[in-house]
Amino acid sequence: MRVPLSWLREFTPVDDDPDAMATKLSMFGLKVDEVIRIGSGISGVVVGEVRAVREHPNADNLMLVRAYDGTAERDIVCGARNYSVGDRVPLALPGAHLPNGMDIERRVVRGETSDGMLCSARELQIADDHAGIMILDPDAPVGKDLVSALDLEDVIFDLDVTGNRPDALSILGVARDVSILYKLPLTVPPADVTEAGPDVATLASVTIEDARGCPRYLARLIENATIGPSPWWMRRRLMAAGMRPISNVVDVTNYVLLERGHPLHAFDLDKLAGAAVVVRRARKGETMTTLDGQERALKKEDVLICDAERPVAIAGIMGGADTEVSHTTTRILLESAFFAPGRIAHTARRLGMRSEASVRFEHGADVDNVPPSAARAAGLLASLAGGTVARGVLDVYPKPIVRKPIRVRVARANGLLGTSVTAGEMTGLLGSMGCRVEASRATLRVTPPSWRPDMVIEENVVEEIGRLYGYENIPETLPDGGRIGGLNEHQRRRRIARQLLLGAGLSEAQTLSLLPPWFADRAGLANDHPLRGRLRLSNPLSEDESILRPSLIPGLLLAAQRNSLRSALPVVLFEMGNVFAPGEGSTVAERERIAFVLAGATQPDWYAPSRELDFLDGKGVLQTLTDGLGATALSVNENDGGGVGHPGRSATIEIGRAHAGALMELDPSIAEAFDLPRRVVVCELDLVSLFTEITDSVAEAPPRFPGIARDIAIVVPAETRIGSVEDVISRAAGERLVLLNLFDIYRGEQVPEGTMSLAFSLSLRDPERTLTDADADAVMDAIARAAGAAGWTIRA
Amino acid sequence: MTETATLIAEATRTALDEARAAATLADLREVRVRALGRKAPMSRVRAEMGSLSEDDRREIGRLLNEARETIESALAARESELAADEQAAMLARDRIDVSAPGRKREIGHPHPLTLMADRIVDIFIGMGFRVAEGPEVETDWYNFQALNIPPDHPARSMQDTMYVDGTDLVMRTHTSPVQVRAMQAQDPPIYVVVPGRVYRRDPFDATHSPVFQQIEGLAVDKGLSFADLKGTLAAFARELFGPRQRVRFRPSYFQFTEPSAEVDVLCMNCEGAGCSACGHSGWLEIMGAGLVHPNVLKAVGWDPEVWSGFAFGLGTERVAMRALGVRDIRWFYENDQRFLAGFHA
Repeated sequence: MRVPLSWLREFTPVDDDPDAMATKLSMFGLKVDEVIRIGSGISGVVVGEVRAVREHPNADNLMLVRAYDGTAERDIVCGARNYSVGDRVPLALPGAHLPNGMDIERRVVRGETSDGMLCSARELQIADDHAGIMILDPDAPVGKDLVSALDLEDVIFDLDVTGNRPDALSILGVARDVSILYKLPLTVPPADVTEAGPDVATLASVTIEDARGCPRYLARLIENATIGPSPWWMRRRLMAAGMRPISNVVDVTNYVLLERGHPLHAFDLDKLAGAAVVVRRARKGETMTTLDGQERALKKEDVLICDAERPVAIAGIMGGADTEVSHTTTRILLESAFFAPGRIAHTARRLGMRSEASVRFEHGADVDNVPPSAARAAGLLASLAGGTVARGVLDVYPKPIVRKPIRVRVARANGLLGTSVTAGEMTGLLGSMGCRVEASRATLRVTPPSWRPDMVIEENVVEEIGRLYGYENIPETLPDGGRIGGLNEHQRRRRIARQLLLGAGLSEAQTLSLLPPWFADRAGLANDHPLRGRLRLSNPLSEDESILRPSLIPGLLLAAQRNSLRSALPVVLFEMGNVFAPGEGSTVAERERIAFVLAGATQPDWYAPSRELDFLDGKGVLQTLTDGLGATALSVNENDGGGVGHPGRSATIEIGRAHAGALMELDPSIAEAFDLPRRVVVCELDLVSLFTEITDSVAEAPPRFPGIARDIAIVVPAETRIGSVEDVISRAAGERLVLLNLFDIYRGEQVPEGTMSLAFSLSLRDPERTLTDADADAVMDAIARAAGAAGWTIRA
Repeated sequence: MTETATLIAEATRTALDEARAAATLADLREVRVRALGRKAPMSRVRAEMGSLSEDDRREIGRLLNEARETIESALAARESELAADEQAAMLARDRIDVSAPGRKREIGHPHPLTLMADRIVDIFIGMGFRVAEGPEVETDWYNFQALNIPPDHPARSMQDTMYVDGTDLVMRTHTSPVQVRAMQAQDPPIYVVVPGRVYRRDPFDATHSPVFQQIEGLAVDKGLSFADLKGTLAAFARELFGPRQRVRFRPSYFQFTEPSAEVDVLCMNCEGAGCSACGHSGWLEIMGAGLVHPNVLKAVGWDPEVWSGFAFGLGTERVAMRALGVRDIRWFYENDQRFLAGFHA
């Protein structure tokens, strides 16, 4: 809501620095987004008169205008053509400054001298209109400074009015708050109207068939009106408030809407069949064309304004094209009505139509404002469009809305606010904003004013007491202590998992949980591949963010791609977050996952050469994570990559026999599709599965007896799985083996072709006694026998 | 006899001179052999002592022992000198360039939003709050109705909410449905904070993202008041932004709180003086807050006559942008590793 200060002052004589006023209004619940000063950046512009117009001799699209500046005529080159001889226009003289920063100088345009400039409304920042030169009223004083001639200087408060305060969507409503804040009188412009001519009842009729949708409908009739432009003072105010002037009739309805907050609608009475207004529900299959030219399909919850034959307006939202006021209109039916907020909201939402009117009706208009708004508009029409206002009103209001008083307990109000305001003070505060209050010592009976539809329950009144008392005057206290805060075990473990991965050298990513549909195609995923998200949004703003992520991997790959394209390699990123899959019926199953991606070569160091990250780096990260968490039951089992993984470098991760995730190098074609190095390691794990396998920390007594360290090298066929060799050793060694570590893999001349030598170091220990060499020999012999049985040899 | 004594004295003098002159431990070992070895002059004297008289033997024996002790102690002294020298030389040879880069393991960097969320959550944990979480895909009831936003209420503008195709489910538009879930999961009193992702039908530009994050707070107890809300958030702001921070409450409107407020903190850039970062007001809006609406309490079966409470919510990105100097919200979701490298625990 744009509120011009000059207009506000018509209601209450506020005189304060605009910025200070903005702060006070914001602290009072009317948030000022911006204080805009208009007309302040204009100098050297006068009211000019067009004396002659001809084509520019050297340019097709330019005109040469001879304009009178009040003392002399001067030649102006101009691009627009929307004026004619005799028009008054804004004329910027050489040396003029415009609010857009433009300085006007005398200059030569295509061989013709331009001794100034004619201005559009936008160049003067009066309105957004830049279709042509701004045409001033014919009585604008030629030669006078434009700013004072048009009364341009003003301050606009751009208010962000909250949904509970439809009353503040008007100059009058804001003025009420200003008068409370500054303790100033409030003057409401009189809504008087001189009635003449016949009784309205002889000219038209109003019937309400849907009294729930339309509790009150009031019509006034104006005859002999002449449609034309409205005067400058009204146009200026409408533009300052952000509305475009159209014609005197439309402008008057908009003016009253802004002034009093009540939406009005003007019909061409001669186009209303039977001169009748019938308010009813829409019928099944009914349609109508609204004045924006669109055909609208209607439903029975819609409230319609109809004439004797057909719908002529969607109540409270938009009028119809057929009955719109046009330049031939002479008889006007002026509608001032009150519609049920929920019904208007429903229809406006369904049709996607939000208008100045619908917003006010949705949040709740003031039913008592129906007659004065109509009178005010009729009065203005009579004076501006030369009409005569018919006698009386057609006011159909079958069941007057009576506001029930709200019981407010003084102690409860103070308890909720944390204050100690007396009943008397509360009564005073509420009285100042228009409530009727009957007070006893402990209880108030509060009847809110008709313009505050938000005040319904005790808490609403408590809020209003708080606002009037001043939020800044409420003390700051703390709730009683004695509570134990903290994370639950899952949340604590999540933080530990994050720290482990950070320690392992991975940085944390947070990717959007909405994916572009092209991801799956670019990755070449099969149609039924689980990475192809099957859940999409029905109304995304952009297709690029329309698929609910089925996995963290796609987002990580896109992040990896971005880093790769920016040469920020290697990529070492992890993410924790929720993923989505269709659940039972039409539900969504949401799971929490942890995932990482590794790609590219490590930074070369003086002590270690650069190395391409691969599957086993990924496995190392995974082991760091599981070791750190104490999730010991996890196993990594070779698989074929499931259509996305490298067939020789992929594995599933199982936790206690159940599938918990995957670790793989991506198929190189996918890596290429995302501009990534050849080897891209990805891993994803279900976080809940991982955490359920965490074993409790248990103390083990420090070993009292020394152990013995031995090494062994076993020559095995080259294709043998290291894991199976480790299994054989562990099983043969038994419980005395406390540590088994592979420290060398050798292929070459020293071993037969087609074999490799695996060198392990072992730590042996017995908790009950000191191991002897003979004990150790026995273990090593058992290992050697088992290796022999497997067809392997021990390397001396 | 005198001859022998002279010989001993000379041998001693020679040994002492040689010991002093020995440049290495090896030299010193040779000195020892020459002075005290089998072929040393004094050894010969001792070997020939049998031919001497009792008295001479005693006397020569004494002289020999004295000489030996003198030589031994000189050798020991020189040995420790030389050992110290050699140790020093060894350490000198061992010197390294301490300015060379260390052998380190690369450490990862936390995401700024996690960092900020953890910091905020931890402050409330310090004030006795626990952490509640809930699903990002929600039912209409949790996201709207239980929060006093009935169907057709203007607060549900179609513009904002995104729906899951083929279901009645919504992408939660705020973390507030977790208020309801948390209350359903336990009996009062409750003190929880709720970090999480939320979804709005917004364009992805410098200040908007269709996916963003909020931290919500809820406290319901006997006798909680608006003053408690003010005090709690003031304490929070001082803890997060510094002891000179202040909060300012302005009347506002949310369906699920009554009274409602928007909460400003002093601009961190100008500390209230007014600058371009705060639109010259000196204040930055960071939160919405208010007392829990009685309809929300009723929705979970808690009696508003017995229990009262407050709720608040902030945009994690918004606060992180201010606190960490992030100028474009998209930076958070690009995950450029060079951007992430700026953050650490």
